[in-house]
Amino acid sequence: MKEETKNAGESLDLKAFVDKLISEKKDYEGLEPGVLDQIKSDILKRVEERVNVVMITNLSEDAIDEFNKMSEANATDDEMQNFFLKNIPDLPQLIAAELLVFRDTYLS
Amino acid sequence: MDKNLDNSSNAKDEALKKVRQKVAIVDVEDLLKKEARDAADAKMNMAPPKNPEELKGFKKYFKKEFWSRTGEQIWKHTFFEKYYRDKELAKITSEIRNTGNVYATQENIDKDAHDKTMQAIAERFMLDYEGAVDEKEEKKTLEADKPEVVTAKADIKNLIFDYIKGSVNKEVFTSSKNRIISTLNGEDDAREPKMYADNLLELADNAKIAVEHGVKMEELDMDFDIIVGKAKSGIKTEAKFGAIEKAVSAIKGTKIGRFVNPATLTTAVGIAYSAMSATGKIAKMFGMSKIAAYTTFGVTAGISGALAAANESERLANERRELTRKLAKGGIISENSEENEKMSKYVYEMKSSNDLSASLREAVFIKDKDGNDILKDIKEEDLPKVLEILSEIETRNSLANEREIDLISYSNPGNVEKEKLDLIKLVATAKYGVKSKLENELKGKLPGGQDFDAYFDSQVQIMKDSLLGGEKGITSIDKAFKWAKIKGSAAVGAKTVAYGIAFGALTQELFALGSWAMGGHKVGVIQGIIEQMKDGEVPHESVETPLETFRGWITGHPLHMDMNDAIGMNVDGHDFKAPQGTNIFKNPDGTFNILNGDRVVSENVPFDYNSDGTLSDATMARLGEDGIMAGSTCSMIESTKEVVTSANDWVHNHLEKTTHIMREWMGNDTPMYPDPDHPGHLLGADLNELRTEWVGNGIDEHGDYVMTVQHMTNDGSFQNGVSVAAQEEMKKGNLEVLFSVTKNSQVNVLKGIIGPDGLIHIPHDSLEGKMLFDNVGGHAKYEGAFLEIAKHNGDMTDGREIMQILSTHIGENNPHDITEVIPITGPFSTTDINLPIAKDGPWFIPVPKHKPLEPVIYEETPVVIPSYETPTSYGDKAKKYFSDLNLYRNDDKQIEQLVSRMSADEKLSKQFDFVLNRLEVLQNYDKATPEVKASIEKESFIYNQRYSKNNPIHINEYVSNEIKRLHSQIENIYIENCEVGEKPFEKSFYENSPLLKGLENCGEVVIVLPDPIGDAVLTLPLINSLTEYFKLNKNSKGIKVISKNKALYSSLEEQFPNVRIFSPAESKSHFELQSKKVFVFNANRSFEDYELFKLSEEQAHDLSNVMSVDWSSWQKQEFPTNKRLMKKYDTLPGRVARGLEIMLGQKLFKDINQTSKYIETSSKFKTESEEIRKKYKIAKDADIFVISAGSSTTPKEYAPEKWREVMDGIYAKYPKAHILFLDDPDPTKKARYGAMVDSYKSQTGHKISRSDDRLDKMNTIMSMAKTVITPDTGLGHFAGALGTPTVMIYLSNPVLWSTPGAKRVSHKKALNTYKDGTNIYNKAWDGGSISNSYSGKSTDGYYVEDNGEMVGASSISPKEVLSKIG
Repeated sequence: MKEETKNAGESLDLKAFVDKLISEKKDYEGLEPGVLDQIKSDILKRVEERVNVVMITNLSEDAIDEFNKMSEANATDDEMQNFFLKNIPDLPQLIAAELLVFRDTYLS
Repeated sequence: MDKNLDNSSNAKDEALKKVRQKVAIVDVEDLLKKEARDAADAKMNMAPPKNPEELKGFKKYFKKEFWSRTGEQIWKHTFFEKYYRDKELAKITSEIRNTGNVYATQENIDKDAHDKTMQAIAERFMLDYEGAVDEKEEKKTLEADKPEVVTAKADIKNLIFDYIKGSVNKEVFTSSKNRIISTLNGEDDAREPKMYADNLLELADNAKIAVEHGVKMEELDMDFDIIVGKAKSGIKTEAKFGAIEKAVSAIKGTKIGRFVNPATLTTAVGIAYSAMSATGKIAKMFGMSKIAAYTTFGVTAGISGALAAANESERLANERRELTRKLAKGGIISENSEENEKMSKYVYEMKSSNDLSASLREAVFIKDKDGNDILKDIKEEDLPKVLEILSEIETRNSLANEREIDLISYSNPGNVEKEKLDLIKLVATAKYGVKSKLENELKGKLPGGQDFDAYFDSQVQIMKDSLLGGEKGITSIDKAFKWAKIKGSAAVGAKTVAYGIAFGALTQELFALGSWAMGGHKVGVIQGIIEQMKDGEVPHESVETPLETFRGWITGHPLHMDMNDAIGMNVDGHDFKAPQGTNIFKNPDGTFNILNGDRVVSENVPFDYNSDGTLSDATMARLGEDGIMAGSTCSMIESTKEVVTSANDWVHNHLEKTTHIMREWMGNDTPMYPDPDHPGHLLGADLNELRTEWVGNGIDEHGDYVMTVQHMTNDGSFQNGVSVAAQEEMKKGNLEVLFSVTKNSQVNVLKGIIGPDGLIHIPHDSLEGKMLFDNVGGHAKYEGAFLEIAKHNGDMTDGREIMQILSTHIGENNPHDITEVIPITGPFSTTDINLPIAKDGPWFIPVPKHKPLEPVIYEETPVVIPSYETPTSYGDKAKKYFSDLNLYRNDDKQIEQLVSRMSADEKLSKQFDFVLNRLEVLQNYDKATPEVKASIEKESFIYNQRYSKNNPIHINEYVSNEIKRLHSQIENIYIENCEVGEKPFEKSFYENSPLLKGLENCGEVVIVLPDPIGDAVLTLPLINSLTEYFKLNKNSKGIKVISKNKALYSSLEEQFPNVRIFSPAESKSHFELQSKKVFVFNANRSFEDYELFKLSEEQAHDLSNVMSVDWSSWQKQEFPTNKRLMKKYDTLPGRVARGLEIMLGQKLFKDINQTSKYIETSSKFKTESEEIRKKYKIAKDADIFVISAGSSTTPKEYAPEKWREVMDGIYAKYPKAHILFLDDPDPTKKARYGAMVDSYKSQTGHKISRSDDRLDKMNTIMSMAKTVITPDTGLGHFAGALGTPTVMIYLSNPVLWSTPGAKRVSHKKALNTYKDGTNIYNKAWDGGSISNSYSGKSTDGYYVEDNGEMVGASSISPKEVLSKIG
């Protein structure tokens, strides 16, 4: 189902990425699970915001106009995803780079 | 019913016509929200710098103003901008809703502006004209048969009938109609009701009038249509955001999954994993992967930069919106408003609604005998002009609606809807008139035989193109703004990127999860916090990481400690809420330290409060410097308080509980005579006069007081053949007991009952019992003035009751004070102290401090300086001869030369091209094109409408006045554009000036000062200017000053070595003996004794011997800084100083408006101030406040009870205050205010002294004061001239009568005198009833307008006065 797909998109890969980050951070060993969940949720939000901004800043001027029109017209998630894939051909690499910078700054 | 009402059938029909058949109910929430936002925007403005030059270059770092402004720009306008704005918005919205007034928080708006606005909106929605309701507004007529409409109509009808019958008053009507409207609109009771504009009260009032004119209630047709609608604010401009701002705003807080499909995300994460496992260290991988291109710090920093740029861009768009809206509402950009000036380039050219209306009126309308606009007979030759104006209005309206911009401006925020309605009605009527003509007499007269609609549409299209295109067209301005935005936001973005790269995102994140020392062990920050939370050590302590700080700055939400379970505390009598663990300590110097746990968050903060108990802006700004967000909330809570009132004051305050009487004595024809053994007592009473007796000791078993008159006889009370049968009248219950509380209040008595048995019973706990009786050792004692037995014998025509006095029991005239419980509605304030979370690591956030817009001025600038009226009665007889000051200035020929010089000067001609152009246009008015003539006629029309409605000036006179005004501006431009000492005028000026000739030829200068202290003090720049002139020109001529108040000005002899002060008597002997030729500045209104200076009458009229003036001779001076800005010299000292610079042809002062004082503190200050402290026992650390209450005219004075409230406020704010209340030399005033001070002192125990010091001590006393508070009076001006902070309460022109630092509290009338260009409100001086004495009537200190309105400075609220103190 579409809703499940969206949730999976939100949680599975990025959450796994954040989980791994946390596990690499020795300081968090022994924390209560609830506390750890809160930390993960905060970090996930940061990651999402950074990736979103990376995507917007890599759009051309025309594409930004189109993006705005789609936002105002309440475009579906599928339409949005296709739009970004079309307008940023190396989107996976771009996101990966941002994730790596994020990881490096946290773990260094 | 009023018997004067005309119930003829005509009047009845007229009245009936006014009962409308429509009801409009219009939702004005949009207006409310926009007015609230505009008001909040205005609160976020920052006043222009006092001295902008000092804030430039390196020297700025040594100026306090630079640092305080920088602090505000960083904290209030950058980090906490959103917080402050939201706070203001919430406060203002709440105030608007509570008061039901959309302009509640805005200044310079009439009190009735809200009602007028609502009426205008309701009326607009009832109009059937095309365009009356904008496209984006909603309007519909409710279907009459719907059940909710039927119910609403029935409810409205019943309510109106109740209103007509008088069973509901206006207040009840308003709340009931609001409830009907809410129900009709299906509003939820639990929600805050919306604001509506409606005409229900108007409808009810008209119906009531109709009934009063004889219409029967059943004749009223209450089957009205109900129109409902939603109005939009008359000001249209909304911010237009660019693509990037919109996009950034759209992605903020959006889950990534919406934009990136799972497969892409999996791939991305997969790549990241591979990279991570391949090297373990990402840095090593940078050089070998394609990913490296994205993983530089620059990219990360670039992201932050993009966000910052987007935010900046959004800010600029908002500021453009804000300024446009202000200018559309009639705002004027004031001097030194650098940011407003910059932004004003991107505001579209607007035309004033009043100007458009005036043009249309002139073109299409004439006035009927009642002054109403009626269509004139439009001729063919009128058509082009009429159609041009109509199409311009249509185009501006249509573009404004299409694009949400403003192309029409209004005169004041409160006049927007009214002027809009006026224009709509005029346009609709004009269109109708023109169209009818074109369909009849003028058929086929339009080009190509087009009909009106087709031709008009084509004209609108042409006008649209013209407004959109061209250099100053909308498109060009938009383009310029887009570039400015890109440039501005790019600069901020670049700065952020630079910071990001310099410090590194790495560092930010490192600190985010880096190490933090705690208890000697190194643990992660988050872990540390969590562990602390677990242990419960510092449960609410938190640490702000640099990244979070950065994020807070970007998002406008900086992190602060949790306030959810904040604790309440009372500090120094004020309520605060702060995070747990917070303590606020008072330091010995009165400042406060704020600690959270062991952390010192802020130190040495002076806590200042507003009069409503909320924290002052200055204190909040100071806390903001330490990252503390302080927010005060103030609610008005009704409660009661106990006040102790003297018996005399009680009577005065409760006249409604007393009876105003006139006495007829039943003295049995025997005279009273003084008792030789008991001075003050009378003998001669007999018969019933002696028969008011205590019953026993006068006290019964309940402790109540008892008296009897049972021994009075029927034949014991008579006088001059009239008698009162006491026993008979007693039995009928016709005798009454009258209690006179004090001798002073004996005409207003309290009445008591006498039983048929002659007994008088006064319960000990009754008001009379408590106030007027005592139990002294078991014996009753009467402490009031008189207790009389009387019989009512009719009423006087003025309402007084005639009382026949049968007997008088004389009391001690020493009644007790009364403790009253009075209701108060008081502000109760709480302040939230929101502490920043502790910071860890260095602050390396980019801080591109933000300069906000400055406030604009909302007031009408007079088109022409109107000539000032001289007051009709002003004490002394005025002198006959006054000099024409224009004759001391450049003559027309010299002005011509100055103009030629200016035109030839590249810089000046460019800078002041608008002055030169206008001068040329006006000088060639006769030859001007019809369009130009029409435009000037329009100006003249507006001028007459505004200033001279009853006696309009002719266009030629208007043009001539305007030319004179420009001449004066040109002189000001030359003076303003040179350095001190330079002489910028033409050679011929210096050769022919009578003043320069006079000063050169004389041996010394004489200045005769005015007698009123205020006039004299404000004229003193005469001395400063002449001294400066002599100094610059190396001339050492003496200046002899003659003044009735020599002692007051004696310090001037120390300040200016060439000045000597003489009293009038001294001057006689001095000038009789001396033979030097003098030049006389006669500034005294009545002095004409020129023989004293050995000048004949003819010589005295020679401009080179005498300049004879008074305060009204000095006209306002103006320097046109640019087309929109006018620097004014409008205070009397400013007028004198600039006037003399022009008349002397030399720049004397660097900046007149920056002069803070012109009298120096006397050298006797040290000795005298010690004596004064000793005399009045003033503590060393006391804050001294000086009050001088007397004024030349009673309506200008502030009533004693108001002073009490002001003094209460001073002591509340400054517990160490010591008030010196100056005794007035006038015995009546001295008694009036002295009595108040004495009773205040004895009641409160506050440190207050009546000062009986003479004028020679005023220099010292006024210099000792922290603040001097006075009405518009001489000693207040004197204090201001010394540079002492002065709060002045005005009834007359507050600007003219003003020293540089005066803080003005102005009555509405005073503001009007300033706005209208008149300088005195003559009514206050007119009429014999206005004098300096007090009659004991309630009108004391007021004058009464023709409409019955009582006007006096005492109408000003003490709160307003207090808000200016400190």
